[in-house]
Parts: sequence; C-alpha cells; structure tokens
Amino acid sequence: MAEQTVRAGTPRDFAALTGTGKRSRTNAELAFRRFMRQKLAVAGALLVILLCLVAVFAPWLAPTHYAKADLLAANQFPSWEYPFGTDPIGYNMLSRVVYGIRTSFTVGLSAVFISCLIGIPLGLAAGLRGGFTDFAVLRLVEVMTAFPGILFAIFLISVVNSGVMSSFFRSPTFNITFVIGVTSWVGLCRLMRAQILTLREREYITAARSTGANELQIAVRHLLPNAVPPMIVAVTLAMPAAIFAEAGLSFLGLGINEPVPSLGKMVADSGTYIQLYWYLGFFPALAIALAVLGFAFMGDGLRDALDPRQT
Amino acid sequence: MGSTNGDSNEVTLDGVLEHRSTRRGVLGGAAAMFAAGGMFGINTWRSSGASAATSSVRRAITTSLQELPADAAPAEKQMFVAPANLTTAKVLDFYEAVYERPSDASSDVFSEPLVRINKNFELQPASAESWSGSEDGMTWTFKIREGMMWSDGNPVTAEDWVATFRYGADPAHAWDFTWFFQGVLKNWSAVVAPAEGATAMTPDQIGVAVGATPYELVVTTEVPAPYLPAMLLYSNPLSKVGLETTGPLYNTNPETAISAGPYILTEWQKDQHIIYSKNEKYVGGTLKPMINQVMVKLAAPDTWFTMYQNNEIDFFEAPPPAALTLMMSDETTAKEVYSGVGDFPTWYIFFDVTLAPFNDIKVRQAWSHAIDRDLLKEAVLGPNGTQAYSWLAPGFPASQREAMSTIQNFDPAMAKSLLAEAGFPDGKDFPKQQLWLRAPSPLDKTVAAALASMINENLGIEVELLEKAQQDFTAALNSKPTQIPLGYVRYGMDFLDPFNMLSVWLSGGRHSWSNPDYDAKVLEAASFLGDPAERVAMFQEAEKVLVTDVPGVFIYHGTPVQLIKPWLKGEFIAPDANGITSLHWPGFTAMSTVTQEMYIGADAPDRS
Repeated sequence: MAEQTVRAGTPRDFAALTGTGKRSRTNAELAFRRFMRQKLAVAGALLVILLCLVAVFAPWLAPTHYAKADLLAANQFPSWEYPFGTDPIGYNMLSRVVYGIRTSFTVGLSAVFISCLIGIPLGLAAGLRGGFTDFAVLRLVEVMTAFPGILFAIFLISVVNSGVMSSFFRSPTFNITFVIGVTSWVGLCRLMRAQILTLREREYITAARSTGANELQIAVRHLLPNAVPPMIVAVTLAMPAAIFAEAGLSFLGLGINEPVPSLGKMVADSGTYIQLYWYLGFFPALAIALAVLGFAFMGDGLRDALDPRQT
Repeated sequence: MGSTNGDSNEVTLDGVLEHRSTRRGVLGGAAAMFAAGGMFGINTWRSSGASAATSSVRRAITTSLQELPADAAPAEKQMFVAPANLTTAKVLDFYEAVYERPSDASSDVFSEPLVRINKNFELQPASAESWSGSEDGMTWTFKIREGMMWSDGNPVTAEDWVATFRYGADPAHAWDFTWFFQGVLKNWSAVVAPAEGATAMTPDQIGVAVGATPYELVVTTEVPAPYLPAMLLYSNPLSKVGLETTGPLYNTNPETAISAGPYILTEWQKDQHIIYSKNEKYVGGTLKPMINQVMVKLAAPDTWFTMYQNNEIDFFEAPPPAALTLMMSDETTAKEVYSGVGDFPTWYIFFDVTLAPFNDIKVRQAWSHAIDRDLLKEAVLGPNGTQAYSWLAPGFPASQREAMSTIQNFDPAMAKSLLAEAGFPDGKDFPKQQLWLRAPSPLDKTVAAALASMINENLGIEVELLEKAQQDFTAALNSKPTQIPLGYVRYGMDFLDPFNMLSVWLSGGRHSWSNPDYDAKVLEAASFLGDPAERVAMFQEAEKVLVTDVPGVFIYHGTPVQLIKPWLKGEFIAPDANGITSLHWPGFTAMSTVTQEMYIGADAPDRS
C-alpha cells in the first residue's frame, strides 16, 4: 500500500489518529443525513428532480410537438389517447404541459441565475468593503424594496416588450427572464451581506487575519464557503418565486407569446372554458402548484438540514 | 419578489432567513389570490348593480317616450344592460374616436345622425328631414330638422355638423377614422394626408359648410358620390358649444355631458360601468325609445359569458365556442342563440407589402394557399362564420364568392412550391413572424392559433401571436408608414355599397398596399351614375385585382352569433326581409331604429 499523506482536518486522519478505524462524517454528509430524515423535504426533492427530468427530456416525453394542432381532435376530454385532453385547436394538452414545465424551469432557473449574478456580488461587496459601498448598496436595496415586486415587474416588462432596445430584448422568453431576474435579486443581496457581516466577526476570521491573510484570501477561503449553505436555501426558495412570477406575468398576458407554451398563460386562457372544458386549466395549474410546492418543501428541508444550530 | 425584512446592521442568521410560516403564508396567499382572481375573473368580483346615483335617477323616470306594451316592465325598470371591453371603452362619441367606444354594447346616442338605417339596412331620415344631390352628384344639401335642442338649451343647427367634421379632419386630433372620407369629401385628403410637397389645407376648408340657412348643411365631394347619404350614417354631431367650452371629451363626464339625443350620460364609474339615462330635455327628435336607461358594463371579454349566465347582462355578441356549446346543449337556452349577418364582416390576415419578405407576391400567394378554411369552419368556427376566399361577404352587393374561390384556394402543394420559388424552401431562413391581433376575443385567439399552426405545418414558418390592446393596434395600423408587418383583423361594412368595403384597400388607406389599377377601377365604379348592373360588374373587376394581388389572405366571413335574453322584447327581434332574427347592426345606437324597437319584459330580473 502506498504511503498515504495525512493532512490535518480530514476524516481519514481522525480514524488514523484515534485508531478506531471509523471515519467521522463531513459536515456535508451530516447535513445530507438530516435532510433525508425529513419526509416532506425528500418528497419535495423527488418532485423537483422529476420535474427537472420532464423539463430536460420534454421533446422525448411529449407525445407531439407543442405547436402541433390537430383541429379535428379539438376539445377532447381526457382519455387514454389524450391523457390531459386537447384544447380548442387540438393541441395535445399533455405536450403543452410538458413543454410548459420546460419553459417554467428554463425561465425560473435563468431568472434566479441572473438574480444571483446581480445580488451576490453586490451583497459580497457591501459586506466586505463596508463604508460607501455598503451605503450605496443599501440605498439601492431600499429603492428596490419600495416598489411592490410584481407591479414593478409588470411595469418593466411592458417597457421591455414595447420595443425599447429591441435588438437586446428580442424574444419574450428572454424578456421575461430578464425582468424577473432584475426584480428579484434584493433578497439574495441582503442575505449575502448579512452573512458576511455575521461571519466577519467570527473567531476564525480574526485568527486568519492575525496570521497575515489578506482580505481577498479571507473572503474566498473562509467567508464564501461558510456563507454558501444559507445561500443554497435562499436560491432554492427563489426558484418557486420565479416560476410563480413567470406564471403570473404570462397569466396577465405580459409574458410568453403563443404558441410557446407557458403554464400561466394556459391557466389564463382556460378561464372562458372552465365550465365545460375544466381540464384546460386544471393540469397547467397543477403543474405550477407541484413545481412551487416541490421547491418550497425542498428548500425548507435544506434550511433545517444546513442550519448548524441543530447539530 | 425579494424578501423584505426590516433592515439592521445587527443581523442574525435566524432573523434574515424568514420564518417558515411567513414564507409559506406569502406563497399560499399569493396562490390563493391568483386562483381566485384568475379562475373567476377579476371582474366578476365586482357585482355592480346600480349605485345610489343611478337609483335616484331611475326613481325620477316615470314614463317612456313610447307607450309600453302590456307585458313590459314598468318605466323605471326599462334598463338595457350590455357588456363592453374594459380596456377599450374610453369615449362615447364616434367623432372623438371610433375604435375606443363601447360599440359592442351601445354608443352614439347623444345626438342623431343625418340618416339612420332599419334592420333591412334601408336608409331613413333622422336629423335630416330630407336631402338632395346636384346633377353632377358632387353637391349634397341636407335639410336639418328644426326644433331639435341640445340639453344645454342651444338649438341643433348645421353649425354643429360643420364643427364636428372640422374636428374629425383636424390633424391635431388624429382621429382614427380619417381614411373613411379620403377621396370623398372635398379637400379632406389635403387636410388629413397632404401629398408630398403640397401645402396642407386647414380643416375649415373641407367641403362641409352651412348653406343658405342655419338649418341647411351643404356637403361637397371630390368626385360624383351617389353613396354619400349612405356614408353619412356616420354623422352623429358633437355640440359646437360643447366643443368650444369644455372640449371634445365633454361626454366623458356626467357633469359636462350634453345631449340632443334620447339619452344623456348620467354615470361613469371607471372600470365598472357607464350609464345613460332618458334625456328629459330631448325635443324635436325622431326617436321614441321604450328603454329608459342603458348600462354598459365594463369587463374583460373572457368574463362576459359568466355574466350572461348570471343575468348580469342581457346580451352579448360572439360567445366563445365552449359557451356556445353549453348554450346549445339545453333546449331552453338554445332559444337565446341568434345568428345574423352582422355588418358583413370579413376576417383576414394582412401584410405590410412594402417590407420583405411580404413584398414578394409569391410569398403572399404561398400563405393564401396554406390555409385550410374548410377545416377551420368545421373545427373552430361552427356557426360563427363561413369560409372566405374573397373580400365581399355573401349577401353584400357585388359579392361573387363562387367566382373568386379558386384564387386563394387551399392548396398546400402549390403553397410549398411557391414558397420555394420565393427562396424559402420548406420555410428555411424565413424570418420568424409575429401576427398582431386586435384585442382578440376567445374565438379570435383560437382562430389565430389555428392559422399559425396551419402556416407552420404547411409552410414550415414559425408564427408567434401578439395580442395587442385595441388602441395600440389601431394606432400602429393607421400610422404612416404602418407599424404592423403582419396582422389579423376584420372589417365590416359601414354602408350597403361595394364602394364602402372596397375602399378599405385604396391607396393611402389603412393598409400599405397601393395598386393604381385597383384604385382606378374602384373610384370609377363608385362615381358611375349609369346602369347599376354595369356598376356592379366594374366593382367585381376591382375585387378580382384585390384577391389576385393578395395584400391580404381572406379567412372567413363572420356571421356573428348573439346571445339575447328572453326578456329583451319588441319589433327589433322580429325577422327581417331575409328572415334573419338578431339584434341588427349597428345595434343600440341612434344610427339604428333598434333603439325604439326594444323593451324590457316584466320577467326581467330586478336590477336595482
């Protein structure tokens, strides 16, 4: 057996040092076990994974392309042939919902990604630099908070859809992703800043500083890794908000255009038919609900699992 | 969307991560709000019965101008309720903005036009007790009925029409219907759309002037215009005094409202309803309505059917397909379904022929051959319309549907080959298209989605649907150059003459197509004073040019379906000369005799 280099701090050396042969668990493993113990969280996670798979494999899962209309098969109730029924021009609702989930997830993930791109660096900068940077970021956060989120999004998307800078704002899907991303970074920013401010005062940071590490090294090696767990939770919980926002804006007619399927728009258009063709609104609404619930439960579970106070 | 905690520099991890309950509460609350608001239609929440103001007005109404039949509700309950699109209804006067009125419900009741029509589209005197044209057909004199008064005490005279037409022509007003009189009224085009380099004329130079007496209106035209009296169905005047004192929007506020018609504006609750009540100062007029109040309920079209089922409205047009299925499934409710010719509307896709790729006729022809109208009729339209291959609807003068049906016929193979010849085999490299829709109803959305799907399937071109508000669409359409590259819209007749429908496609009109041959043929036929049969043939030649050049793909001729409650009674619903029963176009307005042919039966629900 080759000689194993023993580095301080890993589980293997604990076994080597104590001679018990049992290795201790890393924090990640502990958190994972805590997570798995919560049934609701696990259910949520499974739901999310399932929906992600549906979103990724949509072209293979959907029986037909989402824009394939079969006029003669219009308005069919759910049956073996059409599990979710067909809409007034013969779109297969199962295909529409599957692709709608794909749209929701694409928009949701991208929007959250944009929020992270904006919010996390801003929060990091505010927490680390303090002084004027902190002041400026906080004021910006206050301005954003002053606007009711969805109203601001409605305003922004109306502006963006009206043809302003049309070379940049080319497709409705991009537009809505951009708008949601740009209006939901505030929470992430504040969280990041709060994390940094709290962690900055911890003893190991003082220790690191006293051994001569510079600010950047401290930020990268100590602050960021410890700030990650709550950020994971926040990002996970930002997903359902983004999905719901997309559904809401499309419901209002401001988001995705036909024939690209959007769950929110499907729900909106089903209103006129609800007395007769109930399935037109039911399945899209169910899909939205499952997506939002899945992420919410998963996020809750993650929060409980990653919170060190509960060790 | 972001979490909104109170800010503090002393933050703990706990405080920043929101509590489980709050977050769930927010999500749950939002979900509940969306479910409630969305599923049931935000507008049906507002169960708007009459308000206090209306009740007091109603109590004061004790009679109708016409004696009420035995089975009628008492005079104070004679209220007709119809819905209008919440986002569209902004004004009530034709000469303020045509496409911003609640025309589906009721409008233009605050003055009488020069002429009106009955359910057989026959012209009758209204404000004008008689009229005559000169030998050359270019000077028309209308004798205004004496004794008509505005509710502010001023008499109705020819001055009011002159002021109104000048307002319509005023470039500062940017009226959305100026194209209608272009090439007809003298100097109108020179004012609203002056030619390049020519000096623009001013509104006071148009050919509408007071004649020998204040009760004589003289209208001069650019060409012989035998159809002019019929065109002047659209001549509800605004009050000259009102225009000068308050401004053209005097009818948007009950306090400044002035009327010379049988009704006056008594209430306008924004986004809720508009109420017109019997004008007690209506004198010298020609209408004797039995209805004493009209309520225009402002709501999103998606909610109208639910409102109809709850007896909140008495009538609406173009129910969505599912609603129609529901109504027809029951014997009793099936009796409330009526179908008529409406205003002989034709629904069509139009192109901006000055822009690529639609400047290539092969592309346009390909599109015209890619639509399966038979399938559309069978699967989507049902009783709402019939297939259209040409512009003039069946029953309209000069219509030649059969003869024209082979030009824009459904032929997917030809469509594909034409598109390939144009340089886009199988739609490759064809730019993705956006089809503009004008405030689409559920039926319009379904039809448009079906059309997009057919284009995709038969030509391989991607078409996205863009739903636009009525004003935005109309403004974009009318701007010069037009801002709509591809759209789907309808046009219905204004008066029963082929010149009317065909004039929509004249150069300088609302579409960018400009064909001198077509213009010449249409204008020549319009002014032709000879043999009527020959005139019809000339119009048909013109239509052929239109259909062949494909500035638009004609989709269907609407036969609007209407839902009418059984307590709307009277002569209006009796069959017309063709046996058709419906609430005839143009509906409950001073332009139509319907206004005095309707009453509310005693079995109507109480609306107080």
